[in-house]
Amino acid sequence: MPMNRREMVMATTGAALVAAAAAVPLLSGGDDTGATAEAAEAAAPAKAAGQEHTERYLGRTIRVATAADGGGVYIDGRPLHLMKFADDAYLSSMCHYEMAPTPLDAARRAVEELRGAALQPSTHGTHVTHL
Amino acid sequence: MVHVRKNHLNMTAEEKRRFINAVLEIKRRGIYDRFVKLHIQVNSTDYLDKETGKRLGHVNPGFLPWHRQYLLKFEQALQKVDPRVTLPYWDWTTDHGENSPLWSKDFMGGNGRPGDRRVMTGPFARRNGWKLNISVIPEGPEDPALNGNYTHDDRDYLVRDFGTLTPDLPTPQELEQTLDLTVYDCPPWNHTSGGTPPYESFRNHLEGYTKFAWEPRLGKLHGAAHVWTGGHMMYIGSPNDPVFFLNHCMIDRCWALWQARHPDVPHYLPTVPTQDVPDINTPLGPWHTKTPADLLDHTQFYTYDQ
Repeated sequence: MPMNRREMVMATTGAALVAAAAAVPLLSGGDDTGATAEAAEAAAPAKAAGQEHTERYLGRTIRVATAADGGGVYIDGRPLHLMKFADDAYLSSMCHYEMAPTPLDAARRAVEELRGAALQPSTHGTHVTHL
Repeated sequence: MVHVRKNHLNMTAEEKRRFINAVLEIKRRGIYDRFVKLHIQVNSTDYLDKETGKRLGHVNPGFLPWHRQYLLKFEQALQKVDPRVTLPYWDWTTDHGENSPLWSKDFMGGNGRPGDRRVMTGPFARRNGWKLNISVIPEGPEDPALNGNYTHDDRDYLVRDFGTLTPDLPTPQELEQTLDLTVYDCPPWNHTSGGTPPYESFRNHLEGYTKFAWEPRLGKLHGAAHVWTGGHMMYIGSPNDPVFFLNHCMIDRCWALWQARHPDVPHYLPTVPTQDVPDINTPLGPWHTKTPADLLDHTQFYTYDQ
C-alpha cells in the first residue's frame, strides 16, 4: 500500500515523535488530556471559524489567523501564499497542483514540502480572502 | 516550413544536447528566470481570491491557449540561441520510472537525494551550476504575489521527489478516456467543471483538478506529472524545473490530439464574453498579442512527430 506524503515524511525523516503527537496545539490551555483531542479536532476540516489556531508540526510553528484578522496562514511567522477556491479547496505556493481541504491542511503540506527551508519574508501578509 | 516537436525518446543525442545547451544559455542570460517569474505572476493572479476575479491561464479554459503561447515564447527564446532547437515532450502515459532516458545525467538529470531531495545529477543540479534565483522581497503597494518572485522559499537548488506524493504516472487508458470527451469546457469554468456526468470539460480533466467517478484520485494527467515528479514541480515556481516544459509540451500535444479526434466541436469555449473568463476572442496577457482563436491551430507554428 503506498504511503501518503505525511507517512513518508514520518518514515524517512525519523519524525516519529512528531508523528505520535500528530500536531500539538500551543494554545491548548495546558490541559494535557485535551491536547490529543484538540489535535484530532484541528485535523478535521476546520469549522472553528473565528478562532486563531497555532500548532507545532514537524518542528515548525503554524498559525492560522482568524477571518477577522485576514485569515492568513503563517509558518514560523512568515506568510504562506494561500489561495482559496472554495470552502473546501485551497492551494498554496508550496503545494500548487493538489487542493487542500482547509488552510491548516495546506499549511501542514507546505511544512512537509519546505523540508526545513524558510518561506521568503513578506511585509504584505498573506492573501486569503473571503474566508 | 514549420518545425517539428519530438518525443525526447525519438531525439538524437545531438538534438538533446542542443536543447540542453540552449536552456543553459538562456538561464545564463537571465531569460529563463523571467519565464519562471512570469509563470508565478500569472499563477498568483489566477489563484488569488479564486471565488471571484479574472483568471487567465490556470483552473479556467485559458489553461491550454495560455500555455501554448507561453511555450511558443520559450521555444522562440531557445531558437534565438540555436535555431535548430525545438521543444521536446514527455509522454508520461508510457514513459514511466526514474530509469527513463528522460532522467539521465545528459538530459533532465535524476531524482533528488534522500533527505533534502536536492537534485545531484545532470545539468540542473546545483553543483553543476543550475542555481535557482531566490525571490527578491516584493516592493511597493502591489500585492507581493504579483511582483519580484522567482521562488517562495530560500532554497537555491532544484528539488525532486519521484513517486512519493503519488506512486503512479498516467496510463494510456486514462488519457484516452479524457481525449474521448467531446466538450472543451463548461461553467463554472473552474476546478469543478465537468466533475459529474456527462463530464463536459476536456480542459479540466486534462488539467487534472477533476476526475471521472471511477478514477481513484484527483490530480491526473497534467497534475500527475507535477505531483509524481514532486519537489519544485509541486510549487508555484514549477518552471524552475526544466521538465516543466516537457510536461506542458505533452499537454499542448494532447490538445492537438483532442482537436484531431473531434473536428466538428468547438475547439475552445466560451465563444461569447463571459465574466472573469477569457473567451475565444480575449487577448491573453501579459502579451496581449494573441487570442485563443489565434492559437487554436498549432500547425501554423509547429507540428508534433506523432
